[in-house]
Amino acid sequence: MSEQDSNHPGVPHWKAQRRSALVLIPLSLWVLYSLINNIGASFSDARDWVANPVVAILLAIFSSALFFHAKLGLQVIIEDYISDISGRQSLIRISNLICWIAMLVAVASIMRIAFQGQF
Amino acid sequence: MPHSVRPVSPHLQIYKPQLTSTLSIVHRITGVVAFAGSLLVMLWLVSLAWDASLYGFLQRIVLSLPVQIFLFFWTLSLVYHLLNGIRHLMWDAGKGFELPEIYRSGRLVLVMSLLITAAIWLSKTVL
Repeated sequence: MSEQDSNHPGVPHWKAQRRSALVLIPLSLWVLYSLINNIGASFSDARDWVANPVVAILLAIFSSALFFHAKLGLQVIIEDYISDISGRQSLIRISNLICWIAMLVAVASIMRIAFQGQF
Repeated sequence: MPHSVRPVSPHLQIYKPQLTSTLSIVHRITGVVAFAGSLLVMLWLVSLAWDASLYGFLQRIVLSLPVQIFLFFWTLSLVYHLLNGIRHLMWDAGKGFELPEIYRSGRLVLVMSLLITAAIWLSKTVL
């Protein structure tokens, strides 16, 4: 790769994909273990778990990193398999929108639980 | 069609299936499955934050056999994607590029995915 190539718009995408992956490696193992063990928990037990400040912060970081990483990954898949340029661009826009909304909704829900419905 | 002369991704029907190419496409498939399952987790958080009756409804769905099976494959997908992702990060660092190493790490990812997924689900019943 020459010096010039590092100015390519794909480079920040590539780096962001890997940085978010590094964040997700420990967090997703913890989330998987916790969620599978939370299956069948009562509403108040599950809520208490999420409301724990450490859990809430880690879950918020996890949700943000996951849907950000998913946005980047889905974009690459769409770029590779949809050859029609305008269709490709609209699909990427839709997929980006879904990922941003999922991220916001997840973080907002975690915050609301953490603050015990004070807002 | 101006784009037809440009290079396109190698398509599955052209490639003879090998461990390397199979693990590669499985990385993408598991990524999408991991994303789909995470939307369910998002819905779970929404119900916990806003609606106890939605939580009860989700609870009943989650305890049904098809969704339990989906959640098992969601776990397997996330674990596989994570482990194979580490394999990709190693390659990005220029490590493990010899063909025997690529096959060895590929088999390791498969075995470890099953073991870690089994451990996560067994921890629920054992601990």
